[in-house]
Amino acid sequence: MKRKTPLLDYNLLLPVLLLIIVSIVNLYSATMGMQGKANGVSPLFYKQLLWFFIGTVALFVFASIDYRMLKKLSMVLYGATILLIMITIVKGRTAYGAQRWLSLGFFSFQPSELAKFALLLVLANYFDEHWIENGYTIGSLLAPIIMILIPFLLIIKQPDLGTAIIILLIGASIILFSGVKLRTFLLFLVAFVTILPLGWHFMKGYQKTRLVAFVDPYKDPLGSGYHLLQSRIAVGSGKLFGVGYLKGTQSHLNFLPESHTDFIFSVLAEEWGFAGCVVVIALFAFILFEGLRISRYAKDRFGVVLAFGITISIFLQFFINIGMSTGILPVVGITLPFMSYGGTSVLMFMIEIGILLSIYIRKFRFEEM
Amino acid sequence: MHDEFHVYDPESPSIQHAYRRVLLILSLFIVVLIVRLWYLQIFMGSQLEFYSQNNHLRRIDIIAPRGNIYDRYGSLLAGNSVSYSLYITPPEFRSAETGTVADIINMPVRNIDDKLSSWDGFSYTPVLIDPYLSWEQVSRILAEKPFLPGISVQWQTKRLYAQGTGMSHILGYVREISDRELERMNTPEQEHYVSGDFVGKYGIEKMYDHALRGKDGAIVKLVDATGKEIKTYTYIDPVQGTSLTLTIDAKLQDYTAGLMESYVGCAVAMDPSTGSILAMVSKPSYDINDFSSRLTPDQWNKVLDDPFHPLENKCIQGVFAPGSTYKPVLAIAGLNEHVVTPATTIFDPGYFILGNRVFHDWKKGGHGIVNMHKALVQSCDTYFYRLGTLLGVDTIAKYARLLGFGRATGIDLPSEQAGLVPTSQWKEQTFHEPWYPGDTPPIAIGQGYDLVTPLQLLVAYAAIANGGDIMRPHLLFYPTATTSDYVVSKLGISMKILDVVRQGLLGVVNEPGGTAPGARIKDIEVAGKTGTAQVIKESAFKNVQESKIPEIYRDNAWFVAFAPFAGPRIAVVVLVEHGGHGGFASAPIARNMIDFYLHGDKLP
Repeated sequence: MKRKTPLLDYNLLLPVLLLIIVSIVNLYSATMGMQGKANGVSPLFYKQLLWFFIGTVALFVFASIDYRMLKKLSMVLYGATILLIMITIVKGRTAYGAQRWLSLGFFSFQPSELAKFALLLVLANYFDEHWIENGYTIGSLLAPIIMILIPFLLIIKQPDLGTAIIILLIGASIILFSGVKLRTFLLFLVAFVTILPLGWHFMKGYQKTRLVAFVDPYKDPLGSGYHLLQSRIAVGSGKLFGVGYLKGTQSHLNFLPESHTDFIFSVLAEEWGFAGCVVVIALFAFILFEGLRISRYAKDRFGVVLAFGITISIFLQFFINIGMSTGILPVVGITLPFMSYGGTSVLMFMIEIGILLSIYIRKFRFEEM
Repeated sequence: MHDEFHVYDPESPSIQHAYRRVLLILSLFIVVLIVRLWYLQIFMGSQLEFYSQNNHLRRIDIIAPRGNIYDRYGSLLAGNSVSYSLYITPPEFRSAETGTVADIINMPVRNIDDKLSSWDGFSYTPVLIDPYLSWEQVSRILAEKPFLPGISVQWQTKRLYAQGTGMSHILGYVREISDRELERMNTPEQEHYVSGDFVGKYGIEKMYDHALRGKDGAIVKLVDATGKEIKTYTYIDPVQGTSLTLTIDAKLQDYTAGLMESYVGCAVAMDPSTGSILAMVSKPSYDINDFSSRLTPDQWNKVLDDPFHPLENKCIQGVFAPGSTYKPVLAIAGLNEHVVTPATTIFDPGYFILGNRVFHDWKKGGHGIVNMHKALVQSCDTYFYRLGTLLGVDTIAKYARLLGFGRATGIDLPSEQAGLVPTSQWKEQTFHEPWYPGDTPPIAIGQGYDLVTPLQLLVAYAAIANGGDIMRPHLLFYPTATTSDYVVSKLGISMKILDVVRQGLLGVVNEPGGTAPGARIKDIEVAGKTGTAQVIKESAFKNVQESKIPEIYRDNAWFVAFAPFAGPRIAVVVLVEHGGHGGFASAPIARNMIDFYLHGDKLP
């Protein structure tokens, strides 16, 4: 029996494409009038367009190559990423008091974004190599835990609490997804609860104030609570259908800082309202559900864990970013996949979508063989 | 090749179960986001939209100039000038700079913090910190402004009075509205006042605040997050309040103020036929231009601690024993009740005995044979002790009320007092004691429980002068009003009776033995009555010469008068507190006022 080989998963590609269109339209508004000019397109916008173009190329490149190749590369990539982060900590470009960027001459990128990807690969590799069907115990999880903790601790050092938390959550999700024994699960829970107060102790002053601000933004509405309140105002003032495209006063008059990066969703919410938000969330839901389907029907364990990891990393950033913009989560610097301004972020997510497509395609290729 | 990778069955129940669980968890989180967005955008949407608009639209009120106030001849009494106010825009202001600002404007840090505490946490609307900047303060702020973000200076119109002290009690003053006033003045039907408004606090400014205050304008500006103005959105012109003309004759007012300058007391002049107030002076006074600026605690305390109450308009807020100026009330009552006739005479030995009590006349040895005319001219106490006893307290009260005592005259000034007309019932209620016969003789000479305001006396005498009309004294000049609009009531006393009293009053000034020869004017017939009211019943000073008694124990000196006798055009009351005898202290002041008003510039 010969089945028609689908070239691409349009159930995944279409929502991604639509999301990119929404993103470009929205970024145009968010970057407009920056640098004090009332009119005129920001150079940032063109820069991001370029990144989308590079990302699209990368998406198709990764879709066409066999994802199993990555399995062999995973440890090398992981090691290289760890090295890059260390270099960044020593001599990286500083922005907002954190060393996150590494300059490569013509452009700078964030190794921590790369670390998420590398972690997905090594974990998928590990759980592929060590497949235990009736649940992992603490002993068999020692290696993945170390794999998670190394980049986690390094990125905390940068400091980039948001990405570090994402790393931790991605790792935890994959471990739980792979299946752990109940006793091990409970052990993790107890360990987590005991470490939590320690975490508070090691947090930087500004990270603590952010948490305090999240609990009570009105305590310091101009300082730590400012982002939260202004974002809440931006989102809320959008009401049902928004104030209108390019008319959002919160972002255009700079009341909402970081509106093109971390708070990009607030710009959308202000200008397009509840209706626009639901559309974007629906697009994300399509991508996530399709990602899970790809994971489930992947040809091998590596593909299963990798597709799940990619999907869950998109989900985590999606949920945490929107949760932060709407004030149900504290402010942590996490981008909204595809929507936020940022080259590395867009490129990595496009690559990951490419890999999902690759996993989807290979499944049928196997059957043919 | 297949062995390199582990293959598993995606349709197995355990795998299916695992994915269902993940799907459920993701869906739950997505629902949480949508519910949250619904809450913010649909449920809270309107409120957050309001905050958003408040974020970028900044409204700066332009205080409307108040209406001008003129005297009856059109000379300006109250106008407007420019003042400078300090504002702070809280989101831009660094709280560490509070000390610097406090230092410049000379205001405690605590007060600034108090004003800033009203901020809602969002608004870019500037908060008024100090509406009374001096020129030096303005220039210091402008110099330091680059280092003080969020600070701004606004100019606006400010009340300026032509004279600082001469008309304080009439005009009143304007200051920032207090919280208590905000509560009281904003009725549910019309909420006109907002925090930071300037309102009349006293006098005409308070009485006619609604007319005098204009409609404030505003500039609405579009600003960005740094407070930088992008453009002016709307400009609403302020509308000046209605200008008022008073019945005051500014020249007479000035002249009277000059006459009263060194005294504690008050003087009022009124047109007896219309009730128009021509002059009203209360001393000591205070500077209303000072009151329109920030008062230092010292300035406040000086005014508050002054034992002679400069803030009080004694003409309407002070209540005093009327002394002998009350005697015409008894005269009218006696004649109208047919208790006496003009011809009825008594012999005055210098005292009056009632039961076992002796009431002395002011003149040792007495006035001899006295009829009503002589009793008025010489202010014979014995005659009126006797007449009062014959009338009884409640009949006296009836005529006192008829003449306007015991109730506010209705002048258009705030805080007017009603005085007191004692009755037997009143004493019963107040002291739970019956009215004793011995209580009546003192009230017959205005020395008992009776209390009057100077303006009440003036209104009563004006009624005698004008033939029986109790007028409502007023300060606001209505060009269209007729005299009858101001008639409160008619005495209903026959002209014959009033003539007897009037002749008596004429005699007081013009006949030998009259008590007020000092009020005589060469070519004008002045009629009037003196009064000398004891301040305290102090026997220690009984035989001491008046000038040697400490001032605050000296008697209050009254003089009430009207002129010209044939057709009165001016009625005057003068009270010099602790001035001693009315004829000496007050009569010359009243005389000069009348002379000035009737002769005007022809005076030498």
